[in-house]
Amino acid sequence: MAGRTSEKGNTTGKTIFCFIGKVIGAGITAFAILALFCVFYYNPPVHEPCGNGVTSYVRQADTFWARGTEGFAMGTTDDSGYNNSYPADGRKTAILMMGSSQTEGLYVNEDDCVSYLLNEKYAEDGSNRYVYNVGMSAHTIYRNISNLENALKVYRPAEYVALETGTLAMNPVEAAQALNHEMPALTAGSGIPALEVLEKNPYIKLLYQQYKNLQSQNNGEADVTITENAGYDVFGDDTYAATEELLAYISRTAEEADVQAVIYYIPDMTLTEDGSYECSASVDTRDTFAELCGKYNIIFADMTDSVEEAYVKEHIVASGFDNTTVGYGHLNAYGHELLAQCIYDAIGEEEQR
Amino acid sequence: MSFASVSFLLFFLVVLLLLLLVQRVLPFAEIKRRIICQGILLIASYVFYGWWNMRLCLLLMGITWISFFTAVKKDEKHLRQSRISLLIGVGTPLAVLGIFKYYDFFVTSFCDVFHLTPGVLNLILPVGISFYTFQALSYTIDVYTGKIEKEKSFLQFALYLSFFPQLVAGPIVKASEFLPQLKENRKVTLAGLESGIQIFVFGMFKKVVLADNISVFVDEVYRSPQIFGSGTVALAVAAYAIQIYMDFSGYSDMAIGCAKCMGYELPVNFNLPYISHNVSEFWKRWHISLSSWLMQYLYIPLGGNRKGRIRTYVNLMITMLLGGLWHGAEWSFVLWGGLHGLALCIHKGFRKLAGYQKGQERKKNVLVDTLSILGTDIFVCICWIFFRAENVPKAWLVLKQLFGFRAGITHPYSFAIAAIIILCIATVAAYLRAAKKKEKTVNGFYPVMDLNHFWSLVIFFVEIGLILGLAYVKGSPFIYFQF
Repeated sequence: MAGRTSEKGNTTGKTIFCFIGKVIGAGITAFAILALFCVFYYNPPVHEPCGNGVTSYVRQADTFWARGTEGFAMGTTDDSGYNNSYPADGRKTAILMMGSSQTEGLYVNEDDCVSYLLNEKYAEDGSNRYVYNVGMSAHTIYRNISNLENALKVYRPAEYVALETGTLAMNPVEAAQALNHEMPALTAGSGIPALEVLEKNPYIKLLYQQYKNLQSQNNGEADVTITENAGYDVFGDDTYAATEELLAYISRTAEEADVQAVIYYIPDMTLTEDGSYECSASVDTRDTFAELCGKYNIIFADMTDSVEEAYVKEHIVASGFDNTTVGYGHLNAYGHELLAQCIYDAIGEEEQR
Repeated sequence: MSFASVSFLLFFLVVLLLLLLVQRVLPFAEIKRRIICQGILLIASYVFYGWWNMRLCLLLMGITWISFFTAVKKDEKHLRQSRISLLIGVGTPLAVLGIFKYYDFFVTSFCDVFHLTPGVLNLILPVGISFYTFQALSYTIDVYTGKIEKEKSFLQFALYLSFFPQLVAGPIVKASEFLPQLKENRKVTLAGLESGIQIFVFGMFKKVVLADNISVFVDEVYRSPQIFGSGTVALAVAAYAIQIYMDFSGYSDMAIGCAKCMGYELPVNFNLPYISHNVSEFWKRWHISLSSWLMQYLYIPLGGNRKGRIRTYVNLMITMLLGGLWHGAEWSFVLWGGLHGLALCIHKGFRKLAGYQKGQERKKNVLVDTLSILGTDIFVCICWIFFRAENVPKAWLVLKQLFGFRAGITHPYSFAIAAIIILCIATVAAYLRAAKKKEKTVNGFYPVMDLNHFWSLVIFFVEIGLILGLAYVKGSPFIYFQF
């Protein structure tokens, strides 16, 4: 009897042990399947420290990336960790582009990115200029101004340095930080060593992104900027002075490196309930900024008019994707096309003068 | 506390553990165990409901008391007394529902007509009030008509009305379906947990991955329909049909799954509604617990189809108009109900003209079947416009944009397209299953697997992983909570 009980106990123990084994095995298999799915669904290369100060961090070099959470896009980073897939073919950089995630363009296919399109345009017109893009997420114009000297030293563009801006009336505090090279540090990755290995797994990346979205929801941040933000970008005395100071610095630094500075403006547009598509900066603000650029010999490429025209005439919006709210967020492929044309035209016009 | 929240999952885990503790560990007699477990469930249900607003519990408690004490069987000897009891038992929940849900609406509508200033109450709408008042009414009426016995245990009756899985958004469970379960020793079992958890997870996928992600697109198109092209508006209209189905059936699945985990059975509330061949069939597959409630407690008492053709149509229209109003105090809901009522009348009339006998089905024909399903779906989708739009003028704007073939932004929203594909695949699977089992009607089913198999576990974990990775985490309440 005792033997039979112990036999029964052994069988039960074996069954439980076997089931736990199955659960662990199935968990690992499921995790591998999910990771494989995320390689093509959400796989932006993680940030790594940038050794030369061109940007505060770079992406993993020579790494395949894919993104399906905001747009559907894929590509491969170059050997420096930036998004440049157009072949240089031994050419020197003629135009260096510095900007944020908008310029980095990890939301559109690599051959739809603004720098790739510009390279195509210069190949078509026979000038054969090579455009190199060091756009990196979270790199606002302030941060790029702070890194400008380093970038010009490292990449030595032959003709132009183009900086992205999403703001025209510059913030005096951030302007001072940029000019004094005191921008708050940006950390590559979570900064937690134990997590850095995990962060490279695409599924963990996706979960981390979900967690961040949940956090922003809990902090009461809106999903998209449906706030009526038209016209918030306005010049006051302090912002005017800060903007002038920054533009003077950009002009001076570019001149020292023997290149022409270009600033390209990606407007913050709002699609209002009545259907109008409004820019955060008024015509006056944009004119004032253009005047200041002229004063400091900076080419100003403003894509606002072409964005508005595309909406009014063709009902096409430059931002938003097939899996996000229309008209908000990053530039889509059409937005990149408009931006490339805008920069191309602005440089062309200046050269014709 | 929403089902699709971490707080609910923790809450549910605690409830399950407490039930397990009483059922498996503590040394009580069976009857005592049952009473303690039901007590735990009652307290848990009130905690669940009070999570929104503690004061709402008083309302629920009040309706419970009144329904419990006024329910009497029709007594020919004391007819007047039993009628008064019935009047109080039916009138009180209806009055509560009327005050909280409809008072402001009717007063405002009346004052609008006569250009008067409305004196509105601006009361908050207690979540789930339409569901538990209907359950209370069904109990009172069933006891009166002798369909069921008056419940002797207040605990069990209170639990029937407040059982948290179905408290705030149904299914509307009839007393005859649930009270007998409370007389049995329902327990948390491995088999129950295995299927319950899978059904819950299945519902959660429908809600947080499909419905919530679709809501982003639907919300933006219904916010400003005039800026979108007709094709995009059409996609949004179809997307809303899928969103509300995934949202509401997802909730029902989660409710059914929760109850199953604890050893209870709730009725199925949806059965592939978008494969209906006509509107009558649609209402047998959509929100089944509400349509059967309306049929049993409104349409049939009004006379049903027993008082001639005209009265049948009138009864149908009344039932559907009130059914529309049940969903919300807004004319667009009444219009939605009215359109469905009209379609039901036309269908009934057509059957009469075509000489169909009651219950007689027409011969199967793939082309006719496909066209019938498509036609029904298009009609249902158009009706949903009135249901979703904030008001009638907005619904009109959507219709104008839809049928005006106007130019505008083109937005082929990927989640909407993916959801349509998933629904099509699920439908094909249901057809194949019906063909394999040689069933006459095609029915929906839960893909419940035997989790003792390795690959079943893998699929289950992948499903959970996809929910975590693809869930729309910015929060979107269940649509039917507002009703």
